[in-house]
Amino acid sequence: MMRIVVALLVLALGILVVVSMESPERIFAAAGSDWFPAELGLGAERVDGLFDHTNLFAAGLLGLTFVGLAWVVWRGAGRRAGEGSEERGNHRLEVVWTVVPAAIVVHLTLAQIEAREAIAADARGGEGAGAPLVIEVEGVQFDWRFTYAGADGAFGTLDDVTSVVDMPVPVGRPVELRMESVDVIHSFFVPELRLKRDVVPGTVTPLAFTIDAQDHAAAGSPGTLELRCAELCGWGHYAMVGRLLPMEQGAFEDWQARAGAAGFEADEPAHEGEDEG
Amino acid sequence: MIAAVRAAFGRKTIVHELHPHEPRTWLGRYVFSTDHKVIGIQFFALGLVMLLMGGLMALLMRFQLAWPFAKVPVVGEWLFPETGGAMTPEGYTALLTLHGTIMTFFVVIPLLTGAFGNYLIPLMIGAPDMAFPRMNALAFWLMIPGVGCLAMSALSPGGGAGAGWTSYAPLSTVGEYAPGSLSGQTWWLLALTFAGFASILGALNYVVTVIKMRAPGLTAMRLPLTVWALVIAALLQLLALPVLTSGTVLMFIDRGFDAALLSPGNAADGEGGQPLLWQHLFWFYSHPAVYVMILPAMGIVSDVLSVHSRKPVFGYRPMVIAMASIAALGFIVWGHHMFTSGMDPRLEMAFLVSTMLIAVPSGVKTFNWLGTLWGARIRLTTANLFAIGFVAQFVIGGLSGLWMAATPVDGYLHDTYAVVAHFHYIVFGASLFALFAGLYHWWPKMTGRRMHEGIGRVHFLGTFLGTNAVFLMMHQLGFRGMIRRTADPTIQDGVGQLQGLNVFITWSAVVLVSVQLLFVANLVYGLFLARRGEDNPWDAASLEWETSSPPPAGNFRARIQVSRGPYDYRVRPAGEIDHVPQAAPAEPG
Repeated sequence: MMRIVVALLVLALGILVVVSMESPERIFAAAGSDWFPAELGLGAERVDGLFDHTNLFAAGLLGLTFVGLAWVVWRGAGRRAGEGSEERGNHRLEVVWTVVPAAIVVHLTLAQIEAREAIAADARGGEGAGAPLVIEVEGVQFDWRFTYAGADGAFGTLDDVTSVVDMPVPVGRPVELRMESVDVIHSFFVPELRLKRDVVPGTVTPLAFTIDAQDHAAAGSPGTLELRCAELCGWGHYAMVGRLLPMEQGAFEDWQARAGAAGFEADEPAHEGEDEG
Repeated sequence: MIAAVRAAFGRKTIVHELHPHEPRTWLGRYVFSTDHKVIGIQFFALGLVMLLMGGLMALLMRFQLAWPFAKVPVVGEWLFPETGGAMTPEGYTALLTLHGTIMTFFVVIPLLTGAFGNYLIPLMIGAPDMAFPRMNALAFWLMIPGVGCLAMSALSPGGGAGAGWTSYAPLSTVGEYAPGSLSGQTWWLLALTFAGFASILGALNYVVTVIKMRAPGLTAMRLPLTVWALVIAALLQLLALPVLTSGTVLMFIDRGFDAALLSPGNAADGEGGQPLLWQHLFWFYSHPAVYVMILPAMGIVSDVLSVHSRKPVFGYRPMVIAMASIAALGFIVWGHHMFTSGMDPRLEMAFLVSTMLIAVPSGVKTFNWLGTLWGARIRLTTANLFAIGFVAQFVIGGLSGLWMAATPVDGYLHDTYAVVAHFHYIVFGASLFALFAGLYHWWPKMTGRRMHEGIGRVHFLGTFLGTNAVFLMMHQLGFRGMIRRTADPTIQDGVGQLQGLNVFITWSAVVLVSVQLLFVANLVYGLFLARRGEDNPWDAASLEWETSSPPPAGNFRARIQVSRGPYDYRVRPAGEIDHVPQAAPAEPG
């Protein structure tokens, strides 16, 4: 009795794990959504692709071991005295189950290295991309601050545009972040871009991404993507939220012009400008 | 407890025969003892109590994640009087810090190395005690001020250390960044330092004992895999802990004197430190520590599977080589915890490759466990059930590690619940399952009594179902991007819609913790009610069963001469003995 229960439990768990790694979308073609959020960054689909590719082998190995485990337990628990094997090992088997996983590991490692480079190139806009839009990102307990160079393209000048919480970015144009923290370590995380990079005090960490115009349109042109702090940064960590606002190049230029003009009047960022000016 | 300690000593007459200098006072014999068996049982008691504490803290955290900022039942008004019983964000960060610290440094490491290591090593190698019994006792007693410091941290004004068990600088070094944990963080550091010293002393003892005190004939390749695993884990601790200790000293200096060794400080002159230094020092220890938490578990499971399945461990030598490889690789993979930290991308590549390599020896171990069970005569005892559960859940936790090694995927999943799921499958699904397997298996050795098999099987079924109900769907929350250490998942875009999963996980956690009441019941049964008498109830072949259960002071009455390996199980007709004890005379020819 117990042996059937255990074998079935092991099998059920194996099936559940393999199935749950797949997105509900692919299992129930019509119903539900993907476990992963929509991917909107150039190169982000390669992250998902690498994940799926890894899972192909993981699911295979997991299926093999779980079916094997259920089988040997079910069989073994049914044996009586005088039955069974005394085998202490098998050189050939050891070679097989060292070499085969090693080959899989080599294959996956090469795939990872290849994907890693391709993703980095895509994130910078791919070949022939124009000059990136540079944004300085400042993490501070528990807020995000952004500085744009403004019309003159240089930081530290009077037409710099600053923004708190909201980070407008043009769709389709490469963006390069230069991030630094004012206090503790934060982490810049936008799930839809499949990117995460820590924001460290005393060190500038770079991060490049490009919002894919086609993907963005296909996802219904969302106007807001949530930016999360992913590194524990104090009691307010859970509520340290920013907003990445994808917009067309024209709308972005309008915003920059408006925000630059308004810089000396209203809004929190203006205070900094006045103090320094 | 006292009964167990007393039981560990066995009959008094023998105590005097073998240990003429054995202290005659009750305190000297059962409390401040230098007997490895008493110290081992003390480690068990401490670890299990701390496991209960850490588990209850996990329940509190799960309550908050299912019903954020609702009034916490039962203990709410006592813990959070200022809000009328609702959890505060500060309280949540303090809880997650305590839970992680307790489970790592005061539960899994002391239970697997301190408790099993102390109790089993001398018995399994045919020695009367550890090489340095007094230092061994010191290792245990250093844990007590460690627990005290942790309690002081939790009770500090403001609500305790709140920088996570990893305590990244500068959140952990500059008081003003975490106002609630001014002194709490310092107490936390002290607790870590005490636990670290205890581990170093214990590890030193294990290595020397196994090298110097093996019974004649007990060659390295005749050691039980549990002993191999414990020695390899001890070597990891000996080599890696000093690095963590140097890190905690730097952190002390930072906290005490505003030295800014681990943070840039406010110096515009660029003379401040680098926060990543702490991460390197911390993970250089804490990644090997992950293997300290799994290697002994692997050894225990190998032994339990072999005894209860009446078959020699399959591929003994490859098993030893695999454990040694995992340990060696363990020193060059720490950077995979820092793929998103902003360290030089060229380093990522090296850590990616070294991390992937660990899959190979881990696979070898898994396949050899299957090989051990293949063709075996399996007895589905509680110990064996937990060992089988270990194998299944180790495979899940190991394979999800592939995502974390792949830097692009890790860039997405790092610091999400996918990571929480991954490491809980290892430390809970694997390490704690091995703890249960080992406890059910060696309980008769320690007390002379068996725990109740019926209760044990239900305990296993409940724990197995509960574990997977709690941790499996955490993967999915991570796929959706749910960040770790968040006090309120409902306000995260895309995750809030999956709140039903969080509620399900919390209810499953309630079930999982409740099922452990069966284990407590079984402990009580096994201590006081079960019948005594069998010296070797599982018909095991290794040396620790070569003496009475519980063993007398000095362990063995006769001289031990080892003639073979520890897993000599044979196929014999019913009624015949199907194993050859390790100390049986060598067969002629």
